Amino acid sequence: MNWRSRLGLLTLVLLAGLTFGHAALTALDALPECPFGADPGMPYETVCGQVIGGLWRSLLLGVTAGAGSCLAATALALFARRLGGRFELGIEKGAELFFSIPDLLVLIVLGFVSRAVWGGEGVTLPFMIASLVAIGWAAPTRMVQNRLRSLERLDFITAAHAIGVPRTRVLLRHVLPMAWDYLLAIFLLRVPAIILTESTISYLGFGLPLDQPSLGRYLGGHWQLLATDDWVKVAPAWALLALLVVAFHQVGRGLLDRAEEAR
Amino acid sequence: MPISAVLVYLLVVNLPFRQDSDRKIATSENDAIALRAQVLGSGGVQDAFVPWKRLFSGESVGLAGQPFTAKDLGRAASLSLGLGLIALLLALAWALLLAVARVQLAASRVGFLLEVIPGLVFGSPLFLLAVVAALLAIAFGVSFTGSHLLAAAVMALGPGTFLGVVWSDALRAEAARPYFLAALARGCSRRQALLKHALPNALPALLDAAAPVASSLLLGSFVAENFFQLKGFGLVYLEAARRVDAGVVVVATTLFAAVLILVSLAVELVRLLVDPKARDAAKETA
Repeated sequence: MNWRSRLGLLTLVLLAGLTFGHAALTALDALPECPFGADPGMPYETVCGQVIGGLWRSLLLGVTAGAGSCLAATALALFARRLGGRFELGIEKGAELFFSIPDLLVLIVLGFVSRAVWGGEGVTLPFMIASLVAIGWAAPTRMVQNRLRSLERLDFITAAHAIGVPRTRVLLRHVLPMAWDYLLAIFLLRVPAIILTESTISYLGFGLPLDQPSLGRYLGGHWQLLATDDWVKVAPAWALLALLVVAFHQVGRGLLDRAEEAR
Repeated sequence: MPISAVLVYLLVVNLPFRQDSDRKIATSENDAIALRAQVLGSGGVQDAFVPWKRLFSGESVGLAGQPFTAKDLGRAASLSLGLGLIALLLALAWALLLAVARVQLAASRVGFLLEVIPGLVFGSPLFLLAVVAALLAIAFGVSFTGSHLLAAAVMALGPGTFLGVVWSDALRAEAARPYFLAALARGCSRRQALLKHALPNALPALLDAAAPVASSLLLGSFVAENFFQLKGFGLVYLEAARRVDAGVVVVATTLFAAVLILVSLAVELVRLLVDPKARDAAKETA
């Protein structure tokens, strides 16, 4: 890994430490006073509490939805490679078709469904995670399919097929372990994309409710303060969001480069 | 996209609309019946395009108190289309500037800054870029609410930067080819060789990026129209989805689908015009 990826990894560890540290201090009732004061929208909450809570929710959303979409993509790609032929072509074309649909449009429709069925001004955290998984499987599926296809061309895989090792066993025991670093890189690159998408959808009013904000929801509800003397109440959320996105991107990029070099 | 439009339609007609609610969106029993009637009509496949039929027959779609006629929707759509076209021009201009600067100034001190720009744009949610644009407008004493040009500029930033990166990568690849080196050897300046020889050959790379750019402009219109409060189609769609206004959501989704399909077709036609390889491939297929 290069120095940028290492710095990204260190940033992620520090951000995770910040959320856990804040939770531990809250539980011990030993939180120091927040230097940014109270949240103007919710005076009984501090800016620090809202922003670090938002960081935790953004991390949770990004990691779980990223993991969910990458797991779904890997399972689909493995099925496609195992069955081959028309089934594989169907999954490939289906993923391409779904990828051409703008993510935000699907999320707005899902937000509309949530309002129509369950009411309320925002969606729940599990609904948001499920929605993000639902929109995020297509691009990784195509990438994993291509990766598995290229790995299956290696000599020892051909040899395994030649001596009669079942195709499923070859895929799961020999091909998949060689793709782990690539899958991890795809996952790490999906996380910032998910966090940014969630931020935008929250700003448009189809995200989490304002009393349980993610970083994007907090920014979407408070951006007007940037034009006032209270801009310091928004700056920490913006800085944390940028740090989170850039750190995940750098670590993912580093791993992807390493996976390509190893190939 | 047509599949997504059909799926949205099927989803909407099968929704169990809430009938009692303490929220702002009124969905009383009558509203719920009205919502379903707008989409389903009397029920059955023959009524699959009820909202469109209503519009074509001069009636309105939308909840009571928020009706939209074909004229209203057409006005909103033309505003969005105008914004989209201005944004596309701005995006192309920004992309060209960024691409040439990234290729020409790669080795200079400014080169590092030019590498940071894509990271900043892709690493920030679009609405925060809109906030920055609004703050700049305030600093220059310009009112940002209702500013069409500022909205188009915000819409153009993401797709323009993306195109700029794609274009500069293509230009770098062209600059390493023998014809480019031959042009330099014959006394052509680097800038001249880039603009006169490499640029036309790098154009097909832009066409490959056209579909994501169209999607990006569409999404940009949601954010920019919402932020700058412009009554375009994006804002109409967002407000309809917030009000749970099924008729308008179905009409808008099918219209978005149609626009994206038309863009894809237009891109393929332009590709045939500008890319000889694509023309040859089409002839072979025929």
